[in-house]
Amino acid sequence: MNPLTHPRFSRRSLLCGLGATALLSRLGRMNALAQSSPDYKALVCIFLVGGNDGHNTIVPLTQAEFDAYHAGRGNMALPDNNGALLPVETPSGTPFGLNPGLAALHPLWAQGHLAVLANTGMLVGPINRQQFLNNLAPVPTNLFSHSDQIQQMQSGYPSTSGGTGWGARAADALHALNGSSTFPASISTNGQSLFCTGKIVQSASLLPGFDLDVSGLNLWPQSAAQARLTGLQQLLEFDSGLALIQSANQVRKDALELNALLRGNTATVNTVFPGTSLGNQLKQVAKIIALRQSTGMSRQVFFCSLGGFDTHGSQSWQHWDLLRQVSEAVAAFYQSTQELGVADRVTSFTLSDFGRSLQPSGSGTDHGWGNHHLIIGGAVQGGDVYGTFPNLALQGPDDCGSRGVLIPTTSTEQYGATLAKWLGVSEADLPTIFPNLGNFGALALSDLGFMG
Amino acid sequence: MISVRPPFLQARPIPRNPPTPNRARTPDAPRPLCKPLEADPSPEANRERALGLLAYGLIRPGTLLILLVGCLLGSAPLKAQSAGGIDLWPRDTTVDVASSRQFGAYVPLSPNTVTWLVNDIPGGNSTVGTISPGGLYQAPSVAPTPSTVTIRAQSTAYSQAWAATSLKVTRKYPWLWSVSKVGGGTLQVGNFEVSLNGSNFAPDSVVTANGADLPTTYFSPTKLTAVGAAAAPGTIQIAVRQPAPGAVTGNSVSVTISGAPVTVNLTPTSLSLPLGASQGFTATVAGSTNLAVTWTVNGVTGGNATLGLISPAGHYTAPAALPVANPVSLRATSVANPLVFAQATVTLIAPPPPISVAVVPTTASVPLGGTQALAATVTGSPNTAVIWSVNGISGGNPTVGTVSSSGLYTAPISLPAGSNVTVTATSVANPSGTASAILTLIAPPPPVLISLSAARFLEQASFGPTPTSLAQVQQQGIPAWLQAQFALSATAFPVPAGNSVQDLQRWMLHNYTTAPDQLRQRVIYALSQIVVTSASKLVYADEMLPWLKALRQHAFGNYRDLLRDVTKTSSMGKYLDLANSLKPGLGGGANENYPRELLQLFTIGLWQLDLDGSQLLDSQTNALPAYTQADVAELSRALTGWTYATAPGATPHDVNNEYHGAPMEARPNNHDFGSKTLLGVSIPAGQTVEQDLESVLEILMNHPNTAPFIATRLIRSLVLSNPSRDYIERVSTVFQQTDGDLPAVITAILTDPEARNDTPTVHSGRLKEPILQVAGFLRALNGQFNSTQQLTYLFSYFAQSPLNPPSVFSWFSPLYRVPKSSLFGPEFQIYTPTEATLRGNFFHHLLGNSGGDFTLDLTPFQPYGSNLPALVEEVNQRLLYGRMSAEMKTVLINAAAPGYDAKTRIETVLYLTALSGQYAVQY
Repeated sequence: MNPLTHPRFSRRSLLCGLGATALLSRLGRMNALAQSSPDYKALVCIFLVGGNDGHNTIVPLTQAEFDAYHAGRGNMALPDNNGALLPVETPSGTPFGLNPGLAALHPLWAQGHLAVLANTGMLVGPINRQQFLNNLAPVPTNLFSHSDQIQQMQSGYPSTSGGTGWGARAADALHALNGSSTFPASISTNGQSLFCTGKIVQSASLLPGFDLDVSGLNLWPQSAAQARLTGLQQLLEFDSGLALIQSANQVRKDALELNALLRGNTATVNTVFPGTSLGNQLKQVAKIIALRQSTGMSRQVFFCSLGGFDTHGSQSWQHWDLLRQVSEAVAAFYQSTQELGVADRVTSFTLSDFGRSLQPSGSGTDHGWGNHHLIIGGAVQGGDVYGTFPNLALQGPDDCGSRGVLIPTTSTEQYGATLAKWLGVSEADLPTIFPNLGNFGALALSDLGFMG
Repeated sequence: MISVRPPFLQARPIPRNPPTPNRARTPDAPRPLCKPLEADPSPEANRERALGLLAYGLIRPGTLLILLVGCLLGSAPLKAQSAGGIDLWPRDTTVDVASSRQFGAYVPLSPNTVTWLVNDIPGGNSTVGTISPGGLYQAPSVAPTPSTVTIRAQSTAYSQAWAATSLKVTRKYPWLWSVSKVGGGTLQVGNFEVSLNGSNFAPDSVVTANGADLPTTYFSPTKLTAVGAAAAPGTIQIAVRQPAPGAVTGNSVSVTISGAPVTVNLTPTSLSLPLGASQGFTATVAGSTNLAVTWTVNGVTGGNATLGLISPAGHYTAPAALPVANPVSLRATSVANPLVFAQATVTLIAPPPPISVAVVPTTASVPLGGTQALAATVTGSPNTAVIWSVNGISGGNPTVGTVSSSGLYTAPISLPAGSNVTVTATSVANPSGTASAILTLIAPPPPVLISLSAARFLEQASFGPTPTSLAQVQQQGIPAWLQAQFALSATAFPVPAGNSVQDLQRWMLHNYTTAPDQLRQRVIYALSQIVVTSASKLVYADEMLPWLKALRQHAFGNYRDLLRDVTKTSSMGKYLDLANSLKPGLGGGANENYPRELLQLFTIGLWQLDLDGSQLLDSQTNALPAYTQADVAELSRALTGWTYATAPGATPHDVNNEYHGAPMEARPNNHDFGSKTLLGVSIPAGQTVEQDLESVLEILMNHPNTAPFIATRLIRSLVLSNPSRDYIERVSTVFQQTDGDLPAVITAILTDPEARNDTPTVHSGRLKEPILQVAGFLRALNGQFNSTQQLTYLFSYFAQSPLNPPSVFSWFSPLYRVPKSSLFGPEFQIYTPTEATLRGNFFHHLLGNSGGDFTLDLTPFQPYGSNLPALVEEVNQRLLYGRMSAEMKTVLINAAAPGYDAKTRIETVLYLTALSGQYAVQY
């Protein structure tokens, strides 16, 4: 690795906060080197907290499948008052309809930048209805439990074991690509997340709208404020002789430098994001991606989340509105990656606690298991449905009971492995990240194909 | 106004251009030929008259004989001369500028024509004036220099025949019509300023008085002013002179100067005089040679005993008692002019009543920045008000201290020159009534040095030292302090109203900062990160409390008992799914969640360990796994058969619903009674649920990993992140020898030479996690979180939500290494730029917002608000236990120096120190 093309975040910290001139000159150097450092990839997890209803996210439109859907969904079948389904078609001509809330993302299907992965969920290994009903094969612990399944989806383990997340473990595996940069490789925009916690990489938080401004530097007179900042900068430079003190100071120096970067022009993203929670989070992600040259990062993992998907009642409008927020924010984010020239280097994808029952209860739906997920990005082989679209017949072969709770036919670990492989994880490293991956066949076959 | 005669009646020295119509010669009004020439006695007038006849064609020039005389004269003015018989008139006259004069010539020659010249220039020019062939001279608008020109008539036929005359060109005659005093009134001896009214005044006109020039100001052609001085009464002649060239002085006006009036001046004119006192007055008479005055008091000459007496020399003596009329008037009247007087007002004042003032205390010592209440007592007047001053300064000032209107003295924050100040109370009724107190200002003692060893110990054994706990440790010594803590009863956990786990979280932060049983709380906190549950799943307080109580009960007990009770708590039963884990069968397999964590996290860990914590390696130097999946499965079977306790009033079932009021209960029907082999040790078949648990605990407690594994975890949590092998082995040995007696293990950890070594090495210390650092900060500043504080949510921003770790691996992994380093630094896993910034910003919040959600005490720093070295030293002692380097002190002093006030400077030093790596690390 050429150290010049991957400037150390830490090396530059001496310049931290010492004023725009130093920063500009440094960024100028960065920009000059920008063309020699094109190797950047990022995964952006969008976690739909509460259990997104995949059944009403994408609806099969072949007659027989739609009939089964309609029979199972009953009064909650789409289309409903929120508008007509958005038509899409697989390359083989199979028609589907997207929830009208996904209007902002709909064009990406035809452009080939939006794919759907059908009926995915946590699994220990493949299991069918017969095995499930008769306890003939192991299943993840505490299916249908929010806290457990949120944790499992993020850890990638089918139990609540494990204190690391699969996104960060992928970042761990690719750690060397980030050289000596101390900038966080694994970043959550909604507080600490298990998904971003690694053995090597930290789960760094970056809060939307918080540019790491340091309190107490706005006092009067200005000379007193400047003296404080100068004092702080000097304190962080002392050689205490203790390694941990030096490391702690390094974190704060990084924070001051990141503060300057986030407030600087380099972090400017012109794309207009919706002012929603997810929109703000993804805008923060876009700003960090914009800083990739300054931070010297080559591989990053991001985690955003949006709550409210536990739609036990009054689902129709709520679900449409949630998907609208998702699609508008993600569409803006995709546009921002185009603006930044990294559309094919950033892949966004959804995760959720679990899917929901096809059969409604009243105006809502209950906790499920297998679920459909969206993958968005320039590198995505979009315009297609991956995995196996389930049979929606109640008590059918994909129903783990009688209410259309899907038995996943694709493991979350396969899903993650496909993304991790695109990010650059070698096949040999995949089992350390996804320990049960081997249960689904040869590793070489674990790639689901949606990343080409 | 000074009256003058009308100007046309005034005598004129040279009436050359009079405004009399019968002397006007205009082309339209020629004089009659028959006018007798002798009517004007002046020869000049006759010549003019004849010239006028000639000029206007009544005498035809062609009929005249003109003799030309060929004699050229110089340009100098000359008296009229002639040669060759030519005569010329008028002769030797004057003419105003810009006006004309007709000349005529008698030429007894033939032809009788002449050429007219001015200063020998035929026809003249614009400088000297022009003259027409008919002899009409037109004067220039500005008088030439010299102002007298020569007009010559020369025979056109005989140049020797000529006549010449001088002609003086003068400026316009300044007529003066009246003179008045500026401001009106009559002119008096002394300086005066007069205004002149007339005509033809020019900007350079000069006013003369008796022929002497006066400084003159020009206003308009009809107005001038001038200043002058008159030495004595009389009259003076005022005139206006137009300076050269063409100088001319106008007519004069006589003005009268009158003498000065008599005046009397008296000093002083107003004063107050106590009864019986004397005062001299001075009367000054002007305008008369008679300087004598007469003195009266209220009209009584010389005054009297009632009004006071005044001597002929003006010495007034006030009466002994106040007169009815007060004030009195003194008057000095001129003898020369009794109508003129001056007057003074004397206010007679009674002497103030006798007053005494007393101040208590009369002496006191006041620390800098401190206060002292003073009381003043006034006797002798109903007006008891006093005015307080410090060193003579009313109310004092920040340098000498301030005193309030009620006598509360506040000392300055630094010593003034001299360490004593005088605080004086002065009677309002009688300023002569004063009393003072002498206050001695005491500089604060230098910061007290605290014991580094005691402070370091308390960072490890509590949530940070407080002034009180420091004193305890120093007084008792570490062994006695530990014994006292082991003996202290445990702080009870509250059951929050509403069963809110958030309330429990709130209270827990309060507890960390306030509990007297600090060692037990610190150990519970450490154990809670080893044997983990989380509010993320235990979402009600009653679900979490059984686990917390088990930790509390056994923190100073035995690790085996702790594991047993925790295993049986409904909290853990729910969190890791041991509750209702069934023997393998139709209902599924035994749940492996708790058994796996029991092995991996609670007892033996992933890898086989030596007593010193190092991993055992096989011949290929690979680490050896501590257990296999088979062990997990066997352990899971052994732990089947537990269900939630039966809720009061409910029917017991083999699979009970969730209930947290009691430990879990055994259900033989769900227990796997088969034999098991765990970690190579057999568990016989047929044992009960409880017996299997005891067997499991026996196996785990006897496993060689458990002692080094738990010892290492506790050392990392309490003392340092990178313990030496020997340190781990010493503690592990105690764990083994005591079969997991936690007080013995804790004592071994905290009294180990490596823990007690106050001299750090390069790998010393552990990063303080948010809870420890924030709680320690408050405790160091004698503060605490209040039990209902609303700041808990901030700790999720710091990635350490109390009681709510994200997973069974707690907030951070004990195996996490410092980024880019081989050193262990578990707490660094949650110390990223965002968390570090937010935590730092929280310190700033804490320093400025004491009183609601939390308190802290900054008063110990206040005496040093203006003494930066002492302030920095106090912070050094409080937060860094005296380990601050000289360079860090310098930086802090420089950073705080520009602070607006003491509060700002104190905040700067504390805040920056809190942000330093030196404070971030416990070492």
